[in-house]
Amino acid sequence: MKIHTKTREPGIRSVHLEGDLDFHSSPELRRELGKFLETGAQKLCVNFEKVRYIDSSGLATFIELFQKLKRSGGKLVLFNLTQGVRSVFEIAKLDSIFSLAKNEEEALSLVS
Amino acid sequence: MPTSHSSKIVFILKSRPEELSPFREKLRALLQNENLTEAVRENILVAIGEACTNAIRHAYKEKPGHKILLTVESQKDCLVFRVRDFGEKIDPSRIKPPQLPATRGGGLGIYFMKEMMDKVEYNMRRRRGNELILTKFRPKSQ
Repeated sequence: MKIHTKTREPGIRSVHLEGDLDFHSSPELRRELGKFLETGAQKLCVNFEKVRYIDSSGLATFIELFQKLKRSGGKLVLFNLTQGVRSVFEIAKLDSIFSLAKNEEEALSLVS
Repeated sequence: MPTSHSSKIVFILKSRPEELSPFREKLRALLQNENLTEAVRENILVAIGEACTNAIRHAYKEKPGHKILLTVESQKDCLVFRVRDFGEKIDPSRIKPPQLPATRGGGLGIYFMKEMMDKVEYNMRRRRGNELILTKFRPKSQ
């Protein structure tokens, strides 16, 4: 799992993921996302364009992140989800509580 | 592609999380040969991945070096996947359905298997370990 981050606008961190999100890669991602929160990041946009696979371990990582940001008044938007990854969010009924954007532009407008 | 005869392929993986990704690539390549939509193929990968992860986490308690066997049987009307481990027995009656929308990852694995496959059964006749049998029927038009 490769993780690239950049600051898009003041206070908004954009995270680009590359690889599969499974029981093996999820702990590393959880640690990295935890570091962003420790730096005070409150608004995160996560690009899923290069994530082809996510399982329940990967979903759990984002459920935890979502809950932490919600408690601290932050925001989380996921964008560019592939059909397969979106389907996993939908089956877990998470599309009803997560902000899922089509592209980065929409994600930035939702997180602002 | 649809086959007129049944064929069987066996994958062997060890109970280490890092084995999941290379194993998935092999299974993905195998499924490319079946006349299935991409969405169905990806769902099968998630369901089988969850079954293997459960074997690593729950049957083998994340201890490495144990064997997981996946048998893929391509039949005329369906694909049958058997995930076999030799670890601690799992009692399927004790698995609770997850709260939805999901508020945690736990419990989602078996739910995904049931949602993404057409049939999920535990072979309770195995004296040692577990065998999960997951079936996906081919669309009738094929």
